[in-house]
Amino acid sequence: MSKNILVIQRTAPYGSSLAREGLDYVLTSAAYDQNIQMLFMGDGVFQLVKNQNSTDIQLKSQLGAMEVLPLYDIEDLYVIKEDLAERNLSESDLGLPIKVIKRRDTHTLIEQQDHVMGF
Amino acid sequence: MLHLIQKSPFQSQCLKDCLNIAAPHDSFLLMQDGVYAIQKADFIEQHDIIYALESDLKARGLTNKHSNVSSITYADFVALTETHNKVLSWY
Repeated sequence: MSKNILVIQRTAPYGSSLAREGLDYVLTSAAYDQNIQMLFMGDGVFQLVKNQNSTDIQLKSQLGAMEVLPLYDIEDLYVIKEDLAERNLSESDLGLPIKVIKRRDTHTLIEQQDHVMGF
Repeated sequence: MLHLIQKSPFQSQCLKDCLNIAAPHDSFLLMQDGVYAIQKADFIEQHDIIYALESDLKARGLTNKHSNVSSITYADFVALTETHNKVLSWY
């Protein structure tokens, strides 16, 4: 049965494996025909920064791995405006097409879901 | 919605991130080091429905002195996950 699931990415990439595990969860669920949306908040917004090159730290690029999302029909990606601003980032610093939402609108997004998963 | 707070708010950004997106009448369950949030007066004062795992409080020598905080067992925790439509962990 297909469910609406929001995956919340809250951690920066590379420092821990959570960002990668969240993405693995997203791709696996999508392969089982679940409707996935993603929300990037807090340090999770750093996953979206363009020009990531993680070759020298022997890890796969988080942003590069996320480029497959449209192939899995995952196109609803959201980022919290205030969390970008706190980190001195703007939409032009990001490497994926994404919808910028205000913090106070986040719970409306959550209300539309059957499940919410945080990483 | 039930939020599981698992890290100390004095050490981690968890509780702050959670409160940034929580809806006004969401419930909170403090567990593991999250029970230290019981010492955070502004959080306790500003929310109606807070639960804390008694075993985690007891282990850390903390006492629940707040009327809006319910000390609960693991069995109560399971029941809470059944009565809330969404459960989200913050760690």
